[in-house]
Amino acid sequence: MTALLEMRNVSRRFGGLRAVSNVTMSIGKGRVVGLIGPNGAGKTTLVNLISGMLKLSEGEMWFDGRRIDGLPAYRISRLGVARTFQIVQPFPQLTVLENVTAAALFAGGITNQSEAEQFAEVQLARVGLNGQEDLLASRLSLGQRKRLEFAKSLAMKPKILLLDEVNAGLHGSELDEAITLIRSLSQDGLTLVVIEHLMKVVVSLCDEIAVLHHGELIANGPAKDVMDDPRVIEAYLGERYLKRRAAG
Amino acid sequence: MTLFFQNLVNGVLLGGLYVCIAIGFSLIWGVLNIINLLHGSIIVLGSYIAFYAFTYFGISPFLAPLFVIPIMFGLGYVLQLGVLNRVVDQPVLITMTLTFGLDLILNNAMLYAFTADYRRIVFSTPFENIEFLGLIIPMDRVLAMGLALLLTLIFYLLLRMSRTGRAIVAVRNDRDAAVLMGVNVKNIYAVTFGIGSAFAAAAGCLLAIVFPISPAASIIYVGKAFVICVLGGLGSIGGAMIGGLALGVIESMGVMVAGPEHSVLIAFLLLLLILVVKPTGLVGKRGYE
Amino acid sequence: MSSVTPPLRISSHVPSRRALAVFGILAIIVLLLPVVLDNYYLRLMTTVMMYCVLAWSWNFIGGFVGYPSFGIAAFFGLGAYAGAILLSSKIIPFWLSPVVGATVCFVAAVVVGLPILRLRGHYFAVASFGIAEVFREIAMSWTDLTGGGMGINLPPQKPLFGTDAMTFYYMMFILAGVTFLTTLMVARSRLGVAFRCIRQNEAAANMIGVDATRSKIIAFAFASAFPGAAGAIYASWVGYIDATDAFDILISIKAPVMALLGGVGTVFGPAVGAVVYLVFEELVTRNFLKFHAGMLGIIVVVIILFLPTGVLSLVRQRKEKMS
Repeated sequence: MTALLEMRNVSRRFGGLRAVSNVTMSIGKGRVVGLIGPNGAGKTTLVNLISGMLKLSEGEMWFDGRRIDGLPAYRISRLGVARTFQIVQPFPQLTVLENVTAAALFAGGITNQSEAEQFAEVQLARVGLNGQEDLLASRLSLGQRKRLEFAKSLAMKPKILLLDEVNAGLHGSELDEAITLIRSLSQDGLTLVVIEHLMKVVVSLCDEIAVLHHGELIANGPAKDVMDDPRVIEAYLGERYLKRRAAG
Repeated sequence: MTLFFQNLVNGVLLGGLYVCIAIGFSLIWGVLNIINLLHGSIIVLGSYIAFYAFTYFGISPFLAPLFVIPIMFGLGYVLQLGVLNRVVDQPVLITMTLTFGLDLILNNAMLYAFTADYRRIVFSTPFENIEFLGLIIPMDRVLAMGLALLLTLIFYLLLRMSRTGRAIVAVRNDRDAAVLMGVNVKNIYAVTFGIGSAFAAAAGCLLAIVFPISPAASIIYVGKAFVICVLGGLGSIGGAMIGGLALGVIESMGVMVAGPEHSVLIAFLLLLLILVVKPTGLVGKRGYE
Repeated sequence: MSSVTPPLRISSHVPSRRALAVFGILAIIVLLLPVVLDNYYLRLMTTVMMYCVLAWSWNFIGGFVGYPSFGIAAFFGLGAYAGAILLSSKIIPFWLSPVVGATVCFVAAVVVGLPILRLRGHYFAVASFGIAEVFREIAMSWTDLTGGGMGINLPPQKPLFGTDAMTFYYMMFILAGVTFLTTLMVARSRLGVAFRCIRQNEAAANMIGVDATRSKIIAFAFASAFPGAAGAIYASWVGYIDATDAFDILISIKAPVMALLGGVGTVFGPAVGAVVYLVFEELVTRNFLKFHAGMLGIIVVVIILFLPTGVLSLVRQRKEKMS
């Protein structure tokens, strides 16, 4: 299997603190990889490094056969790396449709405004926001904003989608819809990296799991194996999780 | 060699006065997030008050701050409460343009009332200059700087010790947290602007001892205040002191090398250099976007 | 598939066909005015058009992109001096001076913009102000090139369109037309979308593939080139420039104030603001000659406190009420 995204000894320091430390990892095309770990483990930092928002302190980042560390963020997104933000970042005074069209116009590579708009409409339908096109982004509910983030990412025609806690704050039916959407994206062949705290989501969606702790990669492999790894349980999942699993 | 040290001394003395110019400006920028282009004209107003108090009532400009400070505090307080509080959360385009408009009004009013002729305070008995190791230390500047530092010290103590002062610092650091702790932010804003104006006017009194007075000088003072804030960092007295002294010395040195007509150019080139290299200034507290 | 392509919704920020038609008619009227106007009003209209150019120019960087420049005089003055120096040395023909002014300023803007566009908000405002001051001081000091404090006298030129007054009128008209068309094209284009995204959330713009640095520099270059051309025309028009006049800080303030008055970030707003402002100023100068800068201050304060979204927003609100 060809690796779509490859990290080699990637580190990022802030002053004396190593937020990400010597991470080496490969993500194959079409895989769904969960990225888990306690708060402050470096998950979002890693996503920032991949997407170009932060520069690497050490190491190399390779995407689709080319080296991307050091490239400006806008170029990386044009190459096919899309990410969502934990705290969603829409363009508040643009409408829902304009938000998505903008993404299609630039990273999506559709320079004709009319075509970009049509493509945007398709993505909106996909995430279930058709009908809300003319709403101002600032007036959306949290669930709608999350879906807008999805639509924007899809409009970028991504080869890989980095989802940073995209389900945070969602409950009940909204959560189920989100999970269904993510699964359908994966079924369409999109490579996904999913940062998640909800273990049930991780287990149901992900083929592989990578675990970060204090910036280091302490486990990486098929979901089942990682979940049984004693280091992971000690660092993150906790004894209660073991007991819960043993009980039912 | 003596020339070098003479310029250094001049620079330090100048720097002491400059600190006073910048403190009010830095406080208002740091706490209210407003670039107060009215500042220069308030300084000039202070100078004029000192001048007329001296010319018509014989009151020494060293004593003028005693009544200038309360008057200008009151005016500043009212101005903030009535006008500026409305725009305090707005982006810089709005706030800077507004203070510029206010400055135009004040500056033009002064031009109309006092004309553009430069005035000087002429003391009947000139100060004696100290001679020390071959350097001439002008007494008037020393006294002015001394008073400037005294005012700065008072100001510093005020901020540290008084309840209002600490509320101001709290608002500067985190406005929302201050609100949650029961601080009446609107009042603090008004107090801050009042203090800033009062100090600007007091600085004007001291500057009147040394420099000629005219409404045209107001933009020069604002320019210097900018540079000092960017040099030293915003919203802190330490920053204003470092920035003021640094500007004073650099200007004097620059004048020595390039001539006095270039002092404004040097100041602004310095400003641009710092902005591009390290926008948060030498002392570098958190800058404001 | 519907048979009629629906209008692009992403261009909802662009003026309607009707508004453009009205504007076109006004433009034709302005084109024909010299037939009926006397020299005083020709000069007044030339000034109005010049400030339309300045306000529209400021609007590229301050309105569309949201980086508040307080230094547009830097490029007005630079263009004025470039035109004046080359004309008085007889190096270029008269009609070329605005082009030279624009080109020099375009290049200067790219050079200057690269470092200062990395700054945001307050710091960018201060830096842009600083640039204007530095340019002015250099013009004052570089006596060999610029005549220092004494300025440059320009030799009178043969009029291109009838009389002198008409020549400058039409030169400014053409420049205003070019500036307007550029504004309209940008508002409609992909670049305009990039500008709007940068203004609302620059980090997110980068994340969706907008090359923010390049876009900002283009905006800044437009915001500098047109004032450069205006400055060059101004220099010939007045026949004499000096540093205090060409780099006057009031120019740097009037441009954003006019844009504010009409509507920041819109296509027509800056021109509307310029016209309204200058009408006020004309009335005020006649009645309050001495205090007229102070009156400007009062106007600015009133606009900011009571009409910060501009005149056009009032028009839009009334339209919405009626429909």
